[in-house]
Amino acid sequence: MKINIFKPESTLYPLRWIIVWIVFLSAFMLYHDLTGGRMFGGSKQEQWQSKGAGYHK
Amino acid sequence: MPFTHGATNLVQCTGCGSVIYRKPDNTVINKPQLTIPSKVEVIQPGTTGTWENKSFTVLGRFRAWFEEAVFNYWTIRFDNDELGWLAEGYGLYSVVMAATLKSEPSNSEIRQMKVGSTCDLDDTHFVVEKKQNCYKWDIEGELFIPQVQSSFRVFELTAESGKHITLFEFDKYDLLVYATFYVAPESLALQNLRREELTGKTFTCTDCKEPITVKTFPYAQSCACKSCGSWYTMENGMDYKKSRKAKTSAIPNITIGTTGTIRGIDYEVIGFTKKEEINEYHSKWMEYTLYNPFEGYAFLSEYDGHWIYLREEGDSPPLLDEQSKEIIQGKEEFELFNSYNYKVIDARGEFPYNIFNNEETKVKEYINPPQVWIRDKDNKEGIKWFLGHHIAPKELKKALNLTHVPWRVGVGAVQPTGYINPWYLLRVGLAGILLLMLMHTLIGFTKKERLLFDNTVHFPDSANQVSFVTNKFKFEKRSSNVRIDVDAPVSNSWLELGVSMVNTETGKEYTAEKGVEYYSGYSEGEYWTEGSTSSSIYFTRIPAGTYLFQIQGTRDNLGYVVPEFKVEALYDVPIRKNLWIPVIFFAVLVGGRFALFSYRENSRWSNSPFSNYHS
Repeated sequence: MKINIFKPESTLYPLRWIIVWIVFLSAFMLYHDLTGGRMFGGSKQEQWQSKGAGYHK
Repeated sequence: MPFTHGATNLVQCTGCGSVIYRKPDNTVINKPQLTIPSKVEVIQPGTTGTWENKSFTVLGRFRAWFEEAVFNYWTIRFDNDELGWLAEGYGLYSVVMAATLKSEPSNSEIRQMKVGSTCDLDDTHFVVEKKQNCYKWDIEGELFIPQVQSSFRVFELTAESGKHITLFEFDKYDLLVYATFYVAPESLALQNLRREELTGKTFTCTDCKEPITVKTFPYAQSCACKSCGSWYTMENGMDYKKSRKAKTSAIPNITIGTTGTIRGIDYEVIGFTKKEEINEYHSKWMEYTLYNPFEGYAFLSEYDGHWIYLREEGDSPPLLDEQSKEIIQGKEEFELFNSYNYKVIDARGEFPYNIFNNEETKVKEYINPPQVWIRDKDNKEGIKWFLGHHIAPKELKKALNLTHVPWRVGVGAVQPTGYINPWYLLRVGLAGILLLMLMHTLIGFTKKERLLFDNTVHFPDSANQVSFVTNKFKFEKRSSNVRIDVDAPVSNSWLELGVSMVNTETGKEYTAEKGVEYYSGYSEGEYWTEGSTSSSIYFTRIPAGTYLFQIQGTRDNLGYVVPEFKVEALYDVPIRKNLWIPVIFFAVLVGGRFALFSYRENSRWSNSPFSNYHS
């Protein structure tokens, strides 16, 4: 099947790993861009959750 | 004995076997003519097929015996009553149709037609690929042959355009022209095929007295005793004569008689040879002969654990310039990898053509991994082209049910390394980076970059800490971010900013701290600086809700005491780091891959005298 880039018959077979990388990196970038994330670090933001009045650990 | 077609001129009586010849003047006579006693070919009179949307029926054949080959010319009758030949032998199939030339070649041009020479016919440049003498021919069924002389010559020519013609010379310098169209046997959709077991020819080895059976007689024109390795070649189309005494030591990895399916074709291993280059390298390799009654011969070549599966091809790349270091087939460019003469140093089993007299055969290998075109040029046998494909040891082990194959050493001549032309790779790499930039930019257009607050905060005179709380802000997006920029005129001092962002509905609190520090001075006569007067804090993946900020600034009270600082907050901002990290990763991966492939290509070409990698 010529569409399957992992089959040697496909014209894109030599580029298969480059295509995989670009798809992975695009997905990784899109995930961060669309969720407001920042790759690899940031400001060491901490999160705290108030449990309301009278809460004791 | 009736002729079923007005243009056929020989027919064999199915009852008594005698041959009737219809002369050009339509008189019919009995003709003493050799007939084919043992018929094992898959095609037979009555076989039907299709070529170029025209159905045909096989009527009969003449089998031409050349010096080192036997070839069948099956007379085929098309639906429109037209006659043609289906030429077949060794796995090569071609439809041969009568043609004409605007200008016939002169006697001197015919005399100069030698294997590998070029000639111009009808303004087309041809190379002579084969020039063979047919010393006898025998027949089966009803057929057409232009003339009935006992011998004739055949020239096969290929043009740069890929066009092929066959010239038959029955009378000296009188050429009959035929257009040749090579076809894949599967494309002919042949029906009503013969299903005979190969009987072959059996004789006794004159050395070890063991019986030798040549299954593919008469196509195998050479063989070697499986027991002692003595070599035999066919003489006069009759018997195999010994050409060398036993001398065998090589141990084949594949036993003769092994069967299996390679690339969809059922094969039996019928021969094994060890060959050696006749040059200073003396490289040695193993070759196994495979046979399938319909698909003909194929070969497995093994060198340093690298395997190539080869088949002879009729539609070969035209090579008009012998010195050319590349050939083009279709859109593919094949580079000259090796050129050598060789000799057989060990053999067992049977082989197409005569493999024992090929020391004058010039072999050229043109590669475009995983494929290779191999050109054998022999003044007697003509030019033969073989198309080879790399075959992985794993695939071969499975195909032939082998328990052991040799370890691979280095990079094989056509072993795929994933190599991509550097300029093509560069273009693909740039296209990938552009794609990332485009996606990032398009998403950037959807970002609000809404200013939440922009405050300049003054420290009270004596206090080193100051804090304030902002208004409430509504964040609409399901998940987004906030960037807080701080700018302070620090100089050899620092300021620390603490930010708490509180969801007023859920009580969830996000905190972060960031220092701003900037130092400078002179050391060993040189001015230096360190740090910056501004910095940023990111709150990432913040869910929708209502938030307020609590800001606290703490200043250094030892160095320069900053009087104020500026703090600004933006909601839903694009982050450039999200682009350049993938871009850098991608560039490094593409560059690394190029470096790896260059290294492996270098390793591959280290076995070639035509390498461009040699320093």
